[in-house]
Amino acid sequence: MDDGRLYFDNAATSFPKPAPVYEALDAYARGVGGTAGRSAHERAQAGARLLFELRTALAELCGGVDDRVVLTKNATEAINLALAGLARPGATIVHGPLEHNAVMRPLTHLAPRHGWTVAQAPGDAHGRIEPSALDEFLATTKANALITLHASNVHGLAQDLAAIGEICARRKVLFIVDAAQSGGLLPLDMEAMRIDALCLTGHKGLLGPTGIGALLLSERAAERIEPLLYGGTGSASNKEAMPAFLPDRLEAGTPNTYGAAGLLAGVKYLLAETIEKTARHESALRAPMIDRLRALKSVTIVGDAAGPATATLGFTSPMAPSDMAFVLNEKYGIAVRAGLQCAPRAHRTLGTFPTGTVRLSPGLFTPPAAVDEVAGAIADILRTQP
Amino acid sequence: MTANTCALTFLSVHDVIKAEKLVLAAGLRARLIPAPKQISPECGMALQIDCSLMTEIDKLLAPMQGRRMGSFRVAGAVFEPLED
Repeated sequence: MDDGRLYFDNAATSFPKPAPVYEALDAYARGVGGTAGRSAHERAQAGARLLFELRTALAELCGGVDDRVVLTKNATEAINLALAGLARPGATIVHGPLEHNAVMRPLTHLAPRHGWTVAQAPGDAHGRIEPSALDEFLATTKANALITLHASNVHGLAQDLAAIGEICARRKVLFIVDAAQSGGLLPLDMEAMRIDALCLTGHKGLLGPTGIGALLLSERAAERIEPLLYGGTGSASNKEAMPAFLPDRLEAGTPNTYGAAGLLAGVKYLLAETIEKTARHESALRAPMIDRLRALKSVTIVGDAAGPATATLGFTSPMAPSDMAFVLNEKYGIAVRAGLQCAPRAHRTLGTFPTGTVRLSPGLFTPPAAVDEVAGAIADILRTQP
Repeated sequence: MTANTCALTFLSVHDVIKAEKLVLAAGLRARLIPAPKQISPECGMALQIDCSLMTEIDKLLAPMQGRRMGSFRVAGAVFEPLED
């Protein structure tokens, strides 16, 4: 759909997708149709092969192991599974200063029920965890697990996962990462970053459809994790207990094979393009966007800092974020997101709570010229609005 | 299916497909077949191979140790367990 409008809401969901994603969805729906793991006929085999290919591709993209790729419906389910399945009663769980409600709500709900102590890691002015202070903080709090996002959904800046992972590994702290915003956009290597549980969603940087995500586990996490859901798996059908082996142990219910077909095409696209190229594209959009917004005197950029980041950026201005988003959409045909972006914790950290920000999130198929157009529209609005 | 047909079973669907990939990538013949529940209650699929390739395939699948369930000689609908 090329309607001449500009889509700057890729942090919510990426659009458009690469052509092979649409083709794969159609091909699966019309040509395959079988349910993976529930039968052994050709259509079921094709579905099972598809899930195998997806696990293998995700493992390749993120430095994981295919046997330990658990398919979920999104990053939120992966995070819930990781927290509920890995943290033991009485555990101390540390989170980052920028967490989305996908992390904060399960922590808030589960902590009193499991006797967890929850603490926030020290961060810099942009909410990035400071590795130099983390080591002592983990020791002082006697932390058992640390959960942090990789890239912020509010301002795009990334946490230093390699440094954090090294500290967690040394302290024997379970390291859980919410990579909803960075998967497919920034390099991820579970092994090198010492990540125990990597939570992904399929419909953002991984370029797939909504309704499918994944949890990638380290060996030690795979050994201890408990299921979140219980039910049929198509395997060990003679037993009423869940199978002991992965991925089946954590995948009760019919899998989203249709979504998997689309996600596989998205991940294959990224593997062919290379993650380094994608990351360069993100930088190539972010840098000029910052330059153009800096030139607007009444605008305050949220996330104006050097360091690894996605192309997502926030700003405030004398105009309410929701009003700015409304005018951008109605008058200029530019789609953005306003408000708290489901991340009140991040906005408290950044000093933008409760009003929030206007979020600009161009994507893989955003032409560089579109950044000028959006910045020009914002300047125009600020100049002409009462 | 010939008198020299064997079948391998695995823990999960993921494993049986992984095994098929490994065998095919080595240039050997293999195909997925439905397996009776009594020999494969785990995933319902088995990897059909020529029995003469068993030793070679055992080596190929060595990295999957712990994920294999059983080895069988197949005659019609009868799956006879092979000795280790």
